[in-house]
Amino acid sequence: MVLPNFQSSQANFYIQPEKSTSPTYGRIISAPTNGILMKHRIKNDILLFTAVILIAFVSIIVENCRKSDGTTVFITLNGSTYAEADLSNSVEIDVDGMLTVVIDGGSVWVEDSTCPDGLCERSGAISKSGESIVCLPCGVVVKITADEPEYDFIN
Amino acid sequence: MRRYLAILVASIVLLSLCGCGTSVNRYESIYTDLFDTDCTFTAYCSSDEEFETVSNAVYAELSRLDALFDIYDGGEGSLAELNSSGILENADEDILELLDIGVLFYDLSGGKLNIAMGSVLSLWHDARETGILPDDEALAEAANHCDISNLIIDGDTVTLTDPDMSIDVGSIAKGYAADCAAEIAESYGLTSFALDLGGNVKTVGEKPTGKWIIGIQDPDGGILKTVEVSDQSVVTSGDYERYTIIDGETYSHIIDPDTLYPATLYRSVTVICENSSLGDALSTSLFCMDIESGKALAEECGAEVLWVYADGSTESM
Repeated sequence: MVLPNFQSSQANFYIQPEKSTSPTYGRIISAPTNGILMKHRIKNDILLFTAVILIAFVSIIVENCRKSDGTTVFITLNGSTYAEADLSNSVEIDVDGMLTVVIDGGSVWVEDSTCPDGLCERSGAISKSGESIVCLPCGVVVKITADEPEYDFIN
Repeated sequence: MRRYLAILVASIVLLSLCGCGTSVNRYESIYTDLFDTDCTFTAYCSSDEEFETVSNAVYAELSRLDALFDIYDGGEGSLAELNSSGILENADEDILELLDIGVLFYDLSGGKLNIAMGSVLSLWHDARETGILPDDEALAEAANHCDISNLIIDGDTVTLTDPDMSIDVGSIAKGYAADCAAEIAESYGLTSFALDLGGNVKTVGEKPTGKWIIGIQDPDGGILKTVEVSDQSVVTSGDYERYTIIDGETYSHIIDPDTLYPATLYRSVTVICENSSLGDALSTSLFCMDIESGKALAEECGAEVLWVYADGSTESM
């Protein structure tokens, strides 16, 4: 439909929102493309775009927070997890009265073990992900893990 | 038009976010009651259930083999039965295969790996428990009963013709068990996993982030060397993890058949090869062999080896 080209002082008014049954050529003013009509459309676009980007960012942040980046000390007793603590803590953990795991200054070691050979105490302190201290008689394993450890295994 | 474009963009962004989470996670199980050491099974699986299923199957297989090869607490059909009664009939396939490996490596190592050395090893086992060194005379007497030709394998019947002889497969059992357990994990469709049976590492496939990273310890502390492998076994025999201190002296657990005392040529020997049974047998053999013979054997077996001497120097091939 070709609209008559009315020139009027109200040439920049936007289209009335209410629907009209009368022929539009008397109502619609040929709105130039860089007017409030366009600004409204751009504003909507920007709002939508921003909303989408915000959702994207929030999702990414939430996803990343779910994963733990820190290194964790896992203590297992007879194969089941007994305790876990962050390597950055300063704490002593008594494992079932059999030995004590000490975490301090980014290192972990075993003290006061009741096992006969004392190998677990003698093996000293560990500090890297992938490292572990084992006390076989007590069935205890102390391991430092991270999502992707520095070493998968240490021979 | 613009609206559709907006919806399209939104859809693409949201859909791509769904793909952000990786489809596999890293899982790990540690078993402390097998092979007198700690065993770790690490695998990349797509669900907790998948890992648990395979881990249970791996544990079952390792337990089965541990029971068969156990010379202290093994029950019926085990090597403990062979040692106590001198005969094992209808022997399990895995026992037969393991004994074959032992006999083969006795020849390859010039007698330095001897699974018939149980009587000598048992004296050292006692020494570790009592803290008293074995008596030299007792050792010499025990050494008279280490002739591997007295181990007769006929079909599925195994006989020890020397009643004072006993079999000890500690030098080769873990490597063999790792191979068996890996087969089980593979049968469940896993393509990225590794097993560590007390310093006997077997890797299958690669991790999603790349190769498996194994640190070889410096016997005096820290990491000496890092190796990155896939589909390879890395087996280390060393004196710095299993040892006893008697009267202020350190005694490791690998006994030289010729001296009847712990071998002291090296602090550690690390073997890299695909087959874990080979790796285990080779690392134990090499630990007691001079460097020239060792290099020749390593070459014959097509394995990479790292020897670490007491003075900290190393040799590799």
